[in-house]
Amino acid sequence: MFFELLDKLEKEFKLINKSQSLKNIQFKDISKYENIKLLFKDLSYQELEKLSIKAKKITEYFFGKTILLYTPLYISDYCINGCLYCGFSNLNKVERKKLSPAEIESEMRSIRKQGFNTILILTGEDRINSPFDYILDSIKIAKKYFSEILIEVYPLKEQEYEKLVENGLTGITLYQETYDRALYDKVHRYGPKKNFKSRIDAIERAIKAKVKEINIGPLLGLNKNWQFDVYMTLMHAMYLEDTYPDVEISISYPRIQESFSKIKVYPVSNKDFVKTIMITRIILPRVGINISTRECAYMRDNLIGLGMTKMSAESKTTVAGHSVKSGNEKQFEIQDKRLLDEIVQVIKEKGYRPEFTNWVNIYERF
Amino acid sequence: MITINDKKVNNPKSIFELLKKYSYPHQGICILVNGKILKKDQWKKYRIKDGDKIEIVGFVGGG
Amino acid sequence: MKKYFEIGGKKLKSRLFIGTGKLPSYKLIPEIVKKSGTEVLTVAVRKIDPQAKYENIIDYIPKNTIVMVNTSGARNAKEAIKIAEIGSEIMKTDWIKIEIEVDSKYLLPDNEETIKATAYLAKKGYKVFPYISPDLITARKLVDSGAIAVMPLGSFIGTNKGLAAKFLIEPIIREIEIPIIIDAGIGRPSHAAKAMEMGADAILVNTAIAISNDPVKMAVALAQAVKAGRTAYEIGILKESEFANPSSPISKFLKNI
Repeated sequence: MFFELLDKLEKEFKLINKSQSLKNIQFKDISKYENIKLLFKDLSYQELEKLSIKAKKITEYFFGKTILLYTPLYISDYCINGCLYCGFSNLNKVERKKLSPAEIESEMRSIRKQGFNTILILTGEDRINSPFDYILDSIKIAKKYFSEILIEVYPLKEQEYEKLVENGLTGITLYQETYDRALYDKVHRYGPKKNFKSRIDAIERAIKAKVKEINIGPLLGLNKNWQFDVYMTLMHAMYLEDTYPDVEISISYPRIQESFSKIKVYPVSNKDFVKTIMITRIILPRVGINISTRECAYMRDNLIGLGMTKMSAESKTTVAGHSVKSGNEKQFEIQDKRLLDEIVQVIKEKGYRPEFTNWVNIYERF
Repeated sequence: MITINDKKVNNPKSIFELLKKYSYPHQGICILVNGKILKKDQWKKYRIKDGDKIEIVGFVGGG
Repeated sequence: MKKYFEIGGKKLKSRLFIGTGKLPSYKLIPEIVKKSGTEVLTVAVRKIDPQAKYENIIDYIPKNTIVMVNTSGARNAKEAIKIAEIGSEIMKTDWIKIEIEVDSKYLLPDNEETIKATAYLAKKGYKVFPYISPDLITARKLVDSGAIAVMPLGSFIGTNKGLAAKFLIEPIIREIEIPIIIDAGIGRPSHAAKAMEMGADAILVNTAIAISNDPVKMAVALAQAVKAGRTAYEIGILKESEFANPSSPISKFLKNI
């Protein structure tokens, strides 16, 4: 499991910028490490441009000129974790909301009408209010409306993932937030999420349960040493690619928003953010890059062609919000509030094709 | 005696006689006399002298 | 896409130039020209012996075909110049391919003598197409000397090894503003397509056609490959110049973040 490699990778990270050669490194492709070093270098505009040429070429070779569009649906914001960075944190004493199956169906019908075919179902962590069966039911409903169903919920057991896959689950999103174990412990005050290992192992439990897609990522801004979290994310993706060749991996780089955080935030600059995405693309040609509406329109539009392959749209980060009245609390603030049609137009103008399903899955469902 | 492409022959009376005698076409060739190009408008005038080295050159297949 | 390729004062439709050396028979020439669409043929200059049943190649070259005189046989600039002058006397043509070789093992052209011959002939009003061993510095000097184009070899004559000299040719294509015509070494249609995809303006093929089992069909295949490669290039596969453009949207974005 990836957890076992953490010590070794942490040591290797310290060596990256040292002049001594990288011998016996975990992932032996030296060229990848040469690119990782760029995370530490302040790049000039010309150097960024050079990277952008490579990033564009590789994106187009491996993904074609396509962008996958999906939308999230929060069905429950009940959460027992005391995390210091999230709008749904148990530390926030607010009224919680949970959708009934009928409401879930109404929301999904609405979303399907908007044009989406891929949905991401989210809940907070609360096995009493949002138990496993609740999540299972939501997938059964989603199956009526969507070709692809992903979840971003609390870590589940392998048998639970298996049951969900049986009933139509396509993939999971599970962000480690930070790979720095000490920091991880610090930002998770209490609750099951405090268990670093269980969370990171859940990815592989899901894969063993035959989930087809995995989305991982750090929460940029938590760790002052952001390069460490980017490095570990890349290593995580590399490990998953090598170990489970038939799984589709995507990486997200959500950037924390200060207003939702109860701890000091170390914002990652736009330059570093874009650099990270391009380096990711160059090092991991086959890994998807998923950028949500946390980022503004200008940023996302310009990332088309620089490595981004998935975008969410018309997101509501409160529970419901489509046909059913939304909950009170937002997980984060949406920056790109554009309608789907607007985003589709921009994608087309850039010579790209908006897609609503991943072709692998369409084929299987027929 | 003169030479035509290094071959010794009797002096022809004129360029045109030379061309006729040795079956040369009138077009698509170039005549050099003693290393110098004899332009076409000079062919009629030119008096062949003893010891002249005449070269007849044309196009062949080539890269 | 431009309809014509402008070079040496002419507007050409075809970017395939064909050399007539080693052809088993001149009789193939009219069909080769017709079916491949080539508009430029090269010929060499040789002494014609008396009564030697001289088949004049000119009789086989279709009207309106541009005849480029190749100075092969010349071992220095002086000889090349002489051959050029003879060539333009044989037939009204001012297109000269400078080919100066002293090395009979590799048939490598003498770049230095080629520059000299180019400078002289260009001043005299000839359209000079110098054939060289790919060297950017030589190419620059040829531009300064008044050459119409630069013809770097792809690989050694007759070896049909395609674009072995690719890494030397690429900078020439990138840096030199006059047309680049890759000459020598193109053995198959894929080489031709590749040469055009690289950004060459035209190619010259001789051996591959002459020694082919079916010269006419090979010429056609090469012409198709040239078209295919050129189309791909013009559409812009891997067109990095798009990005180097400072006013392109991505460039602006990267400047502002």
